[in-house]
Amino acid sequence: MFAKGFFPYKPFLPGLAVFNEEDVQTPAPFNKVVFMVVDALRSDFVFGERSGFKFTQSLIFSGRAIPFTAHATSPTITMPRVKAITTGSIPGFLDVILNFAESDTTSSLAQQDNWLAQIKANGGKLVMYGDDTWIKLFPGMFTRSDGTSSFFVSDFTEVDNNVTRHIDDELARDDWNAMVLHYLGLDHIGHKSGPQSAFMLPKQVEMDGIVERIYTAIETQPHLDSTLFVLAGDHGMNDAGNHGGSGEGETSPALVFMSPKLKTIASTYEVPLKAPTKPRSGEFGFYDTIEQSDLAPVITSLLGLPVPRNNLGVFMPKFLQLWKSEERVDVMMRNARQLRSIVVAAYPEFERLSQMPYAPHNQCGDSPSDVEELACLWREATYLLGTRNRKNIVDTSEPATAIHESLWKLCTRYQQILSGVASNYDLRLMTGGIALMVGATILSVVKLVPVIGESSLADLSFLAITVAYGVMMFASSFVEEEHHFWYWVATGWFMLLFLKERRKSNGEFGLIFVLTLLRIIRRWNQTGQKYAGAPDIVKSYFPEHTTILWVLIILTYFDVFVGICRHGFRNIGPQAAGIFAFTTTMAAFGFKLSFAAYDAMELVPTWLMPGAKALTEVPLVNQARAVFGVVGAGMLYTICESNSSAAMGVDGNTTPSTADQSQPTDPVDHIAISMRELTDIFLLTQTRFANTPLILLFRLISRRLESLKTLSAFEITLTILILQHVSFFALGGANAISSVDLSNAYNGVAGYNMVIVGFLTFVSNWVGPIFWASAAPMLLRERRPADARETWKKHVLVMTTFFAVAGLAVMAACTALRTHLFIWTVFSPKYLYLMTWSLGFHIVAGIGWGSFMIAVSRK
Amino acid sequence: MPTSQSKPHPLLAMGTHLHTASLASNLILHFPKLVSNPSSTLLTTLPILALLQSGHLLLSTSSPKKRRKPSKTTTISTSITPLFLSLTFSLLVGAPVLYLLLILFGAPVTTHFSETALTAVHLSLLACFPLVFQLGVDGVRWREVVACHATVDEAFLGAVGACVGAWAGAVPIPLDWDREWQRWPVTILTGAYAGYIVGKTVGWAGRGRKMPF
Repeated sequence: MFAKGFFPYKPFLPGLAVFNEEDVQTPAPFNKVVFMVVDALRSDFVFGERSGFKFTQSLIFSGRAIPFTAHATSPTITMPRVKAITTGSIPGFLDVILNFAESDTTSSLAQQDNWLAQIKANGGKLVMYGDDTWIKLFPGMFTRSDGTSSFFVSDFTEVDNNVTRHIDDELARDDWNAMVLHYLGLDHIGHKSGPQSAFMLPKQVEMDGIVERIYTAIETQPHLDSTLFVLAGDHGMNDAGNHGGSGEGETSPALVFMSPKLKTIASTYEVPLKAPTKPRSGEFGFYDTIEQSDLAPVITSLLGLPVPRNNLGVFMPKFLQLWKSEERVDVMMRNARQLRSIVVAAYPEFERLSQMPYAPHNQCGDSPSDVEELACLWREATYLLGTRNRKNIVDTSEPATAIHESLWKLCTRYQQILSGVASNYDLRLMTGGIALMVGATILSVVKLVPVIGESSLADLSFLAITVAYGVMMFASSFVEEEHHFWYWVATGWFMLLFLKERRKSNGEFGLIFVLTLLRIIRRWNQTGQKYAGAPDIVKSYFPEHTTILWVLIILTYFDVFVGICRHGFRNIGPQAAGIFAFTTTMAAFGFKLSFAAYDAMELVPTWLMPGAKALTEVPLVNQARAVFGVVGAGMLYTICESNSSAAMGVDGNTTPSTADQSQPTDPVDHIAISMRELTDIFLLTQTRFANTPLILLFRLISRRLESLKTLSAFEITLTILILQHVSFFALGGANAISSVDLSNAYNGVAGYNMVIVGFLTFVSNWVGPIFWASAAPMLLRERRPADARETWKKHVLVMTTFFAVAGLAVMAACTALRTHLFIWTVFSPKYLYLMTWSLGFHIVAGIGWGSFMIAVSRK
Repeated sequence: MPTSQSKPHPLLAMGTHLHTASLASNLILHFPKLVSNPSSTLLTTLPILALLQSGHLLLSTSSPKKRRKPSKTTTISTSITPLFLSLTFSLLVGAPVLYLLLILFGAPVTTHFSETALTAVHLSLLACFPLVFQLGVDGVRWREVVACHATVDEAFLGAVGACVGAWAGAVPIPLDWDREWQRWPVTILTGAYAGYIVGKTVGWAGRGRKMPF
């Protein structure tokens, strides 16, 4: 409910735009467009002094190219950016989620007007090579296409060669009107090793070579002589090579229009443009900065097409030079009329206001409201237009400029105001959501209060942590750097536990060991915003010590293997259990190894290469399916085993095989443990391979905690709560959309299935918390085997209270700070993360899976 | 072993506050330099801190508690040797242990060695030095201290305050204010000093009581 109010609903006008009778058709300067997108092409990559785009810079210098920095609004990820470029609208925040649920049909642009659809509707043909986001967004639109997917970011060359090999062929044909190329290699280099990477310059040179090839073809081949060539980045990247947020680097992609015809524009410059050059503003503001959505009206106008209906972009007056002076007003006017129709849809009163008589010399800036200001500007523009028409002047120099200026002013105000509309909140719904949350919080607190009191230490700490967490949600930097909070809390909490243990017994230094492990864990992955890209174990240590990494990985799998051997398959004898455990772990390890060989060859040591090579024979998809199959079968078997041992009655507890074993332990234990081990195998499969040793460290911590018999149930619950969060961040998680890890989302999935991929994405990003959630029942049972159900209930209650309070705090923060500069980059991602934490993780994994494990083991 | 809580001489009571004030002013005076150049400032202020602490301990404590027979005629000269021993002990044992603890709590390992080490020394002089001087090598009482179970006094609560303060000092580091003083280890050290001063004052006010939990 809160979500519905918070994420604004944006009305869009369906249908294609057509020329109105009032619109005067103007001849089109161009009839073809080559639209070359280079993913993550930050402005300085093209315009800066250390750029590899020498040819492009020479075009700018000689006036045959017009450069811009195209400001991209957040979220700076590919799909919303492509939407903005083609429709001219500003995609809402919801598109972020849809970007991950890529082939979801609601996000396709079949319903929304855009310049590709305009070309097609006017009888043009479209071809597309590159990122398959385009093909998903525009299903059935392209006559010829070859999509590449950006699944393996370690692929720097193949993705691009798959695009380049089509170019010559297409340039020779003349049956297309628009060719879209989308190169992913540069983005991959950024993700993998950042903008300073050694691969960056060669890639820029390669891209520049392609620009040169296309431009030369346009210049030399007659059938391409009225082709507009656009080179654009969809977004930029930050210093770590990631994107998604609204850092200056992320929002400043380059944009270059190229054509020999553009010389007419350059000839009007007082000072010719320099290239390479220094940024005009900030670090990345090269040349003029425009909105990315401005591309849509420019392209349609240059091709002589109507402006897309939902466009919020403004035509750049610079390009007016391409038309005869008397036609220029019409070009601007089309844009203004199109924007006006959106204003009318957003503010119905505009129609009435714009009819009011025009009073000259009225200062529109003083208007009481945005709508009235717009109406005032509109009246001014139409008045000027009217006078021009009445005078019927062919000599247009003086008044026309005034009209252009007035129209341009009008359009930019439209843009500003309408962009504001895109973030109107439904406060009533939001308050409703908060009220519901308050209810949930009160309910859980009321339920919780009677059952606490067992351990004053845990009570106070829980109170302190929850309150501190809630308060923290109002500070943007603490949301960005949330991991610091949890690491900090964890050290304090374990120190407290240590001191408490010292009080009761002496000689127990296990908690210091836990603290040591935690210290290693927090260095594993650098996360957060402030120090993103700083060295950590995964990025700085392992590339040079691959053997250590793989020894640790093997140790991890071995540890799980021993666990399954010991506790799984009690009914079929130890040999069979051993064989099963071996198959499972080997399958899982084999998958990890071949995935690693695929994804990051440089991280696989030479002594493992033969194994990896042998495994490449089997497709990854089948390997992953085999692992999932074995794990699933193992779990099913374990459940059946628990049923059958329950059916055998109380005396049947000691089945022949368990009687053989010397350990006289309760079989109920074994079932829960083997369920946990199998879960761990599944989690290991969904973990990035560089992170798998972390699971080993978690297992060590969990074993230490098990051996600490003096901890109360509440203390265990609180420890689990803290460790869940610590492990989430240690595995590389953060409260930023760009940190969502998709590398394990397609394990065992050949096509696209939203449910499965969504589930796998969730698991791979919440591996740590799920690990602790599945360890929780065991740890709690150790405390009080007598009334496990009561203990579990309390555990759930405590967790629910925490997430309810956290949810309340985040919602309140989002509401209170809705005008904050960082609302879309910090607070709303946090809100999405919290939704996943509480709905996805807490309810499904925490309560659901935990209760299931308890139910299975209790039978 | 109960502490002999004779009524403190009013002048001595004044002395402890004077010590508090001089510690605080030492920090405040050196704060700008600490921010601009942590390592060298930490080093140059060490002797000042050691002197302040020693002077305070000599003046305020009637006698080190490890002495079996508290003699009435404790003079400054008889306390000098244990004082020196305590100082050596806290430098040689206390500081390395605290350094390891700082690492466990998240101090940088591969960089900032001198800053972290010097912070540990400062922390040791604040927290360990008075404790060692007061407790000596009495294992039982040390265990009480580690378990947070000892009788409240200046040295004990001061040490607790310094440690908690250093821990709490880490809070402002992640904020995006981009201030110079957010750098390592300024906030930690400030937190430790502030915590020590608060703990010491509370311990002075509530001396002789048991810990509430």
